[in-house]
Amino acid sequence: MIGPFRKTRRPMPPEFAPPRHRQHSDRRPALPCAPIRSDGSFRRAIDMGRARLLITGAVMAFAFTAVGARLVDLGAFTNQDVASVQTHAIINPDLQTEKATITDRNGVIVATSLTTTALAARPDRLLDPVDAAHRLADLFPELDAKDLEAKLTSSSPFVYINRKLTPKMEQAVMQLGIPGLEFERAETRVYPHGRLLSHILGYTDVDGKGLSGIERGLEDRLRTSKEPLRLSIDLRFQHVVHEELSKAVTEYSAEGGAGVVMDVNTGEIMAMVSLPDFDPNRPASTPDINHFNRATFGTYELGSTFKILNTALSLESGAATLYDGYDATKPIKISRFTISDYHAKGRFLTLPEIFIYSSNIGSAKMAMDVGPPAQKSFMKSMGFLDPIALEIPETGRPMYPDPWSPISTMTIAYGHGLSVTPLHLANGVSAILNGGKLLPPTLLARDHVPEGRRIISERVSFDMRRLMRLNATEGSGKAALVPGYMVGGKTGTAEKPSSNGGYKKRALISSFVAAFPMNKPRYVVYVVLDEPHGTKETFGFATGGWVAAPAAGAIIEQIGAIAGIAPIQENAPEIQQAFAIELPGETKKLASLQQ
Amino acid sequence: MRVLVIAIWIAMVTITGYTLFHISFQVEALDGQLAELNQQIRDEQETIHNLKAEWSYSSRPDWIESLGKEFLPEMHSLEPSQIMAIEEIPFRRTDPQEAEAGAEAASAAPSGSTEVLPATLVRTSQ
Repeated sequence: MIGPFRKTRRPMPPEFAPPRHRQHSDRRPALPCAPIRSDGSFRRAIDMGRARLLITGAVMAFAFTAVGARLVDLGAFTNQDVASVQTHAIINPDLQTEKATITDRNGVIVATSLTTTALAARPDRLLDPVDAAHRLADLFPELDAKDLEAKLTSSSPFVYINRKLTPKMEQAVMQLGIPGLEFERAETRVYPHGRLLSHILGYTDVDGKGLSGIERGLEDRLRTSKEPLRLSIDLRFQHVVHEELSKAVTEYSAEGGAGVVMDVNTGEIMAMVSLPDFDPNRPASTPDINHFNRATFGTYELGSTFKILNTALSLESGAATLYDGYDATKPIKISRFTISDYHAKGRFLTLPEIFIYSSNIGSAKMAMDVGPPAQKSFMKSMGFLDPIALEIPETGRPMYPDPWSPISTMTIAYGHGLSVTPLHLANGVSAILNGGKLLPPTLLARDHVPEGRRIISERVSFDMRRLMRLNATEGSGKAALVPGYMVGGKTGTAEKPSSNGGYKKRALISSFVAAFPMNKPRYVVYVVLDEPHGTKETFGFATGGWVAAPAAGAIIEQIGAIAGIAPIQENAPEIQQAFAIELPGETKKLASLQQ
Repeated sequence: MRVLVIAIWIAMVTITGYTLFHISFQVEALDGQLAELNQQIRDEQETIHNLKAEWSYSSRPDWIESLGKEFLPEMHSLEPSQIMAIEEIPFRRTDPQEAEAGAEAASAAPSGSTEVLPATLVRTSQ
């Protein structure tokens, strides 16, 4: 406290002076050097001293008040700066990584960031770079001593020696005790399932920056939100498709293949495989061609599977009904092209027959009845003329003829002349079978299914289910039948365009699109093989029905069980009645009765 | 009086000073403890995180499949014919004579002794 100096120091008039002062008024005061005089220069000096003392006191008082106020402030009120200091335990149960974890639809981790240590060096701080290089090279057999020496003697201020150190290696390097070496905590993207999801997830560079797939397409989402990203992929489905497709590709020595499983009712992609693939943990270890996503980026003329679209269009437009037919006796000759049938019947065919015998002639005539503009606008509404908006950047742009001539219309009817990605087709078939609503496909788990856009009526959708079921029981899709799951499907075999303009007879794109169970479709399975070769077992055939349909059947058998789909009494009268399509002539009546 | 006031002042200053430092040290110690605990939590979290990734790796479908093939060669994948609705399972016959006979048979033989368990629950090859 600042004392009441004013009271004691003020000179008093003599009449108020205390008696003691009066008594000794003749004596000099106690201070030997400062005699008190009530006037003159001495008095002025004292006044000045007092004033200074007062100012100092005021400043001190102010300072103390400020300190006191601050103390009260700190103690009694929560302060912003103080609150930011960590004063509580970490309550977030999950480790916060730079990039969010990716899981499949069941929560199984498919990509995550692990903390690793990187070993770096500052060459200018190394005492003996050559010695250090040799000692480090002894420790890391994969590093070349010469290269390392060049690195450590270089003039750059900072060089990485190893970006991924195991804790053991870290310990060993520490024991070397080389000054100038530095450890850096870093995060490495790890893909526990390796090749299984290569094209979906993509991969990252050493700094974790996404270079392809989801890692690139959803980079911002992965960095801003730390919540795990849930994919629509079911890992078990993915494994089944990967396994069966790999088997088919190996067995028929195909160049590659693609497999897609879609939920027809939600538009979610349940599995998507493209072969050959790569290990996202070591993307550089495989040739670049393996990074090519055949399921979403590669565009192909997919052949007769387009007859599903063509028939749906024909029925929807009213140009034909299931009871109409077309003359398929003679090949169509138009300008320099000839359209002929692979399984030529040489007679008048009904619409279901055109579908199950996969008649190109009939399909071309059906398309011409509808007309080129209607076909083009139908393809446009199906999204077959634009790239699919997907969460990954690798989406292929379809190639279509411009102008859309009558000859194009005829060839597109059976899947030539319009190149789309396998995902386009799987999505289109889903829309045709789910009641006629086109849903945008997605690789992320969907909680709310969008309304979808109607492209065909429910009646036509049901007719298409009947036709695809008929084709599986009577037509080219028998190899994909799984008793109890009521599979329906359509084969497709297209010749690959050759570089000199025509088509290569021997290079095929063989595919099979299936859906099950046909009375209430759940999943569409699409299998494409690129340039398969026939084997002894297939009698040298490499068409969709021989090479792709068995794979689709094997996939359906396994995923049906995984999805827990209850088997259907396929020969129950109500199902038989609903799905029966009468076939005339040589073909048996009530064809679907025959298993 | 003056001495007393000074004494009280000194005492107050001492007590305040002591309390202040005491609390300050306590806070510091707690801070250290908290930092240590938080570090522990972080380490545990990292371990859990790594183990989760490890678990995902160890439960790879292809790995499990290869293990299954090796150690459970009798197991087959589920077939649609193995699934049926509960209504399709026939109810037990409620014939009274049958029930009596059954009860006699059960009392005659000590329970469990004649019961033969199937060698395997796995479907044998057809």
